[in-house]
Amino acid sequence: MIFFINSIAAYSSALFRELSLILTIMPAFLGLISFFLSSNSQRKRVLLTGSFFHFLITLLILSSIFYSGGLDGGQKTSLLIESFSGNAENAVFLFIVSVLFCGASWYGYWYLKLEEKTQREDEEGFILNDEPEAVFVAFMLLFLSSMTLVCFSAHMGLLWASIEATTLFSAPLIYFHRSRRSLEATWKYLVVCSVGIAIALLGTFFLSLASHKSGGSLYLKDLLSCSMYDLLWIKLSFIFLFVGYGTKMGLAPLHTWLPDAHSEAPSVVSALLSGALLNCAFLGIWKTNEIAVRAGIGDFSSSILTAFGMLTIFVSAVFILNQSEYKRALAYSSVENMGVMSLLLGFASRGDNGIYKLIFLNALGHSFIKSAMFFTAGMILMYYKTKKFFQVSNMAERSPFAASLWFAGFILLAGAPPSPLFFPKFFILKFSFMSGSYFSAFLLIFLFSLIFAGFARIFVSMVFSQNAEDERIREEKLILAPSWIFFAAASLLFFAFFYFSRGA
Amino acid sequence: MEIISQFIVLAVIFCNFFLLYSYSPSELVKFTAIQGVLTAALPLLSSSEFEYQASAFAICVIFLKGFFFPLVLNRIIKKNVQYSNGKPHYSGAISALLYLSVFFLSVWLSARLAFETKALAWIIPASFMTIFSGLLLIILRSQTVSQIAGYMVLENGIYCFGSAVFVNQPLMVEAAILLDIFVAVFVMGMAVFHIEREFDDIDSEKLSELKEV
Repeated sequence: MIFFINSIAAYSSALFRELSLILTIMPAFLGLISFFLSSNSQRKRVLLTGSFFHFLITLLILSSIFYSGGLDGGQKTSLLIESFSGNAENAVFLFIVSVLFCGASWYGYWYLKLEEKTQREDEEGFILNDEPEAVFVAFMLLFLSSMTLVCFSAHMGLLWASIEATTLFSAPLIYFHRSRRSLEATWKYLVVCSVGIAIALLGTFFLSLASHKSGGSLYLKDLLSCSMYDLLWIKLSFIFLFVGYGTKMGLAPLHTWLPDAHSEAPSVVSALLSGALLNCAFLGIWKTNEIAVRAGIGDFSSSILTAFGMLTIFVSAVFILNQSEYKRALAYSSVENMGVMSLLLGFASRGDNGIYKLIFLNALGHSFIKSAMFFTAGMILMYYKTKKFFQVSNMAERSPFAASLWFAGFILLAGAPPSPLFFPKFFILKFSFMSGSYFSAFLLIFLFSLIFAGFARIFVSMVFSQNAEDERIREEKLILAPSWIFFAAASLLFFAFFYFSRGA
Repeated sequence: MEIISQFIVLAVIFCNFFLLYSYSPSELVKFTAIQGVLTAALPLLSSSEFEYQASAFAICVIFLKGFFFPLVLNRIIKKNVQYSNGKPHYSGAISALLYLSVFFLSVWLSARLAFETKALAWIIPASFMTIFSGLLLIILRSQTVSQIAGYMVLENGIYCFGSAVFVNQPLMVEAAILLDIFVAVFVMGMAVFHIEREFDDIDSEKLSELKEV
């Protein structure tokens, strides 16, 4: 068995370049093909098959990590990374993108079938006139392709182009229901993110100026080995890239597009936006911070990351506490988790390499839990036809299957064991106390408590509150299979982390 | 060649004045296109020897910014009579004041930042000015087409800055960036088309249903 795995890993390692190209191009190719297919059922099958093969190839590529003598980034500079050795973050985020897309395509397959059968109305009572499935499936696959390219980019210019491409390919998906609200959300998303990303392009040019004494190359390999940085330009570059990618990642006060887009998009798209896309933007900040640390401005980048992380957690806590829509509350929870990840990256910039695994844990845990929650939210919206939490009652008796998922999700999202989100939060508090930042520590405890209270108010009311007219709802169970799998995976992460870090 | 380039840089600066001054969306699109073509021509003129790849790329940029984007935006403008009925939110004096503020801010910023490039005189202030003008257009104008024009002006400024500091990127990356901008304008144009149909309005301020209670 070990010999078998080693052989596969060896082959995958040798074919890393080819496999990464296939992985990037295949979804885009399938997306374009799906435009020209004659039937919707064929398109749905293309979506499912494409995501399955993407996952399979991702596993093959990831297996190269186990191959001990793996390539070490190659000798020449390339636009795409040539191995995962030294690029663990790319591997983790690629895994997240692929797994989530697999779950999303399963959910999307059944969701589109259900949408065909039922005619739904939006909040203003207009009948929803969904986009053609050709557009939906094609843009889903193009979106996957652009996110994959983000994970393989080894050039800051290409990283920028691929992150911008994720915005453009996901915008039509947000407008799927063609309602006024989704149109407004799409417009805000396009304008805010495009301007943000344009600022990141300027930051990328500043980066070239910062390293011009060493040639001004924008290849990550060159930037990370550069010894002569211009301090003024590298600082400016960090600020501009942080603002640009921070807008896309949803860091406060640049997060304004996020609650609108996440709440108005179909739930399958919200799951991908929240679980996969935000991580792609975070990868941009990660790379920027890595360069900043190498350039010797780790303290500077750390202070910016921690300040914005704190502000983001504060903003999310305020808005979750006062939230009346459950999908918006989930969106603000994503904002909160991006704040946590920014805070952790800020701590890691001060030199503690052990924190990186907590960032991975938070990214994996948040992506699994949040996408599962959005899938469930989509079904709740379909059953109860409202996004207002106080108009949904007694889920425990009316739709027990969805209720069990919804409540399990609440426990995991709040960071209570066995949630993998427990450890990152616990560590942040521990680190704050140990470094003598008592005010920050108590403020964070207060903010996390507010978030928990805000969630409890929404979830408990939806699941347990009684109403005289409550009727049992006929539930669709197969569609929510990914939610159970993702929750189980998240819990498994908790136990695995606990087991492996006992001695640490 | 250098004197022509200097004239082009001056023309880019003047374009910013007209962009901030004019309220009519069709004029905005016109000046954005002129500015786009001028900034795309700069790298061609500043290069001492003829390069096929760079020239072909510049021609693509000129085609997109000078022909394709104005075509898309003008079609949207022609379809909706409200674009010709709009009134400016602020007077000409305020526009002139904004222009001067942006001008002095850009000159001050360029003097503060140490550039070790052999760039043309005034090209760095011109690019900063274009970037600020684009941001101002996005923030101050509420008409959807004007906001797209603002995005394009912002992009013109970044392109101008990139060519001023000679940021050399592989052709693949340049093409990917250009493709992104092409798709961005196209997708925004589609969104505006749907906004006009759905809301029967061209004002992005009407998009105000989604807010925190």
